[in-house]
Amino acid sequence: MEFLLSPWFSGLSVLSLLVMFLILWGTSRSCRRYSASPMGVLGRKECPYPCKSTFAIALLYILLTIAYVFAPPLIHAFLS
Amino acid sequence: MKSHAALNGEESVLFTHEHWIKYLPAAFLLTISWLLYATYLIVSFALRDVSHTGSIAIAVAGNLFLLVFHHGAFFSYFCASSRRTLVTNRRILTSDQQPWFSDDMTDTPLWRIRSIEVRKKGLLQHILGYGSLVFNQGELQTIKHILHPHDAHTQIISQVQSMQPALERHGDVQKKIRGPVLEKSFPISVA
Repeated sequence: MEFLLSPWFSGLSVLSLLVMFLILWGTSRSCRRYSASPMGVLGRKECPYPCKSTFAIALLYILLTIAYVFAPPLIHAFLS
Repeated sequence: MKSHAALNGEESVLFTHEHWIKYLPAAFLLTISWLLYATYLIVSFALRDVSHTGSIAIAVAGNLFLLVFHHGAFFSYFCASSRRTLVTNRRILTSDQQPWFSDDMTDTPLWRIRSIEVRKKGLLQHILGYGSLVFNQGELQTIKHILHPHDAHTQIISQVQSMQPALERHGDVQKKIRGPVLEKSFPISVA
């Protein structure tokens, strides 16, 4: 609990969530630009972006980032 | 844009699949993040009885490295997944985007292509069957990490060749228009 509430750790967690949000936002902007471009229009069937794997990896990214917020204090509490 | 592309009769011919090797840096960063975190955690617990502050500092540093490499890995993945190449019956379109940093889209008309080289260098590229396509000896954008580059080369060449009659007709028309003018302006004398 002490570790979880330490300013270093809470600061890192908030920063991490912010970075995740920025990366996902940037990626969604890239996807929109790609879809509006001639390449996105012509290759709508062959090479859509985002594709299923991009969605799956984005979901994994969100889950892992949230896990990394809670995992270190849990590991710390478990081992100490 | 959509109706414009459709009205012009442009069709996609080949979507060049890039090899999964392009995701290797992302996988490497992710693995490194876990390894570093595990190392820092072990050191932190080893120092627990010696120095409590030092132990906490190392645990926080481990967490920092974990997060930096974790975000770096996924950023690298999203950048790599946005690198795409589509060949149509008129041009080669490539997209390479890095969220918030760069947004490159290249449009190369097929008539500009004079030569295509297939480059496969090293043991890894030969074993895994990927390589690069270099256009006009590097003058135009190179397509990297392309899966089965010889097949892609064949398909692109067939598209370029199918454009040849139209280009030749266009060239003949241009010659007819310019020919007499050139002869008048620069008469060739044979000694």
